[in-house]
Amino acid sequence: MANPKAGSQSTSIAELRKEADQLRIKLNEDRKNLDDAKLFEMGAKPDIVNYQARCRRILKGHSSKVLDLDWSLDKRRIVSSSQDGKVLVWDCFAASKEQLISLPTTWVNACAFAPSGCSIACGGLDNKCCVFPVNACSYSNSGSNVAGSATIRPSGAVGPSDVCSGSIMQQRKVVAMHTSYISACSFTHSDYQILTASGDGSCALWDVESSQLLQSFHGHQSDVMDAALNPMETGNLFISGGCDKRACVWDMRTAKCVQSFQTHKSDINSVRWFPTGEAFATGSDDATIRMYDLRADREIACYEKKSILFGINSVDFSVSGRIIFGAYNDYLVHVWDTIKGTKINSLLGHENRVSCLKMSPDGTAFCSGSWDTTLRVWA
Amino acid sequence: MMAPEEVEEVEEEEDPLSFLTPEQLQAYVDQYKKELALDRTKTSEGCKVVMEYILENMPIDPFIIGINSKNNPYIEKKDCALL
Repeated sequence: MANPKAGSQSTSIAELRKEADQLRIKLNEDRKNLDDAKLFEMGAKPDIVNYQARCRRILKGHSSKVLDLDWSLDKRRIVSSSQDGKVLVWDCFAASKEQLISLPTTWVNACAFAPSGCSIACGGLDNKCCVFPVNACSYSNSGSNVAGSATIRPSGAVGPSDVCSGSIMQQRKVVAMHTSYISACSFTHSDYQILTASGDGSCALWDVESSQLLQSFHGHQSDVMDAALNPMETGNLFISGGCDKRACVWDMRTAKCVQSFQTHKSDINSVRWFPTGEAFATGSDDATIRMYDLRADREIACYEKKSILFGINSVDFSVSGRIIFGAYNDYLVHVWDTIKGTKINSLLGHENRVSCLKMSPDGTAFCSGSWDTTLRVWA
Repeated sequence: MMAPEEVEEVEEEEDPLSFLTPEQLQAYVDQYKKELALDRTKTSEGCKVVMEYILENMPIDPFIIGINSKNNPYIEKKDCALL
């Protein structure tokens, strides 16, 4: 006798698929109906941007591919993580290394500086995100030293501390555990919460003190490659991009996906907010950078060129948002005019894929990291 | 919320919804309904806000106005010799 349940289940699947398809078509139509302007047409009037950035510092120290970097809010320290399992804290002005942390696993995909500059978070193929204290961290709180740590190093002093991995591993705190690799991590507006994105398809919010999972965000159909918190102090949203080609906007309080965009043709590797917190840019393996606006609920710009065929690993805006910098697999940093949609120029320097790129907190420089094992500071 | 099960996409053209269970499909339908209900503004308004912010902040953007060696800590300062 035929299984009646299977029969009814297959019709309900078919009905649901039809409904989902119809809703998706309606959604695209609704978005299109309000599409009454093109950003690049509006951007035709302002003057052309001319400034050419140059490589001002080369930070050498990693023995393998640099995978991620983050600036400290003091605008002078950078933390970088690499395939070689090492996390380095640099003083950019002096181009010197301040601290070295050797992790037991290789492929540290993500690293981040805490807002206070007193700790860093990192994670990767070990499926964990750990927090480590930073040695010289008394920049925000003047005078007070963290108990047991070294005093502030005068600039120019060379010599990484904590080379003995034993002592630093005792100070580490395992905060996040996923079931697959960590692709991105960042502190929220305080030192006490961390947002992680993982290859297991989810993002999660963790409490640093207790290592507890506060909220988890499910919805991506594949690995999540990047997540970014809204820069507004009161912002409760964050964006994520993944290998399912979708960029999602999440509400942290309700753990729900508020909006999602699927116009990329391949994996999204990087998501970055526009300074207003109401738009964001994504970089993808399909060689395009796209900008989405939250209020218009659609893609408002696509930065592409026929001659550019290589994927983008990281994007960031200049302070005003007029310039978008993209870290590409063709070893170059391509620089785009946000409102005209044209390429301003391309920065040559790295000798392999540019894997990560971030603007400094005050916008005076940006740093790029590459598979050629170096980081470069451009200004 | 639905569990994050992997959707195997064999070819680009295949419908990504083909491999989901009824529960996951229902979640998709609910999500689309929510997104449809969103209060959207016109694209021109969104672009306008972006343009206005950019034009307002370009005068303080170091990459637009350029920074001379005095203010940029990364540019080597030229030595002056007092004779």
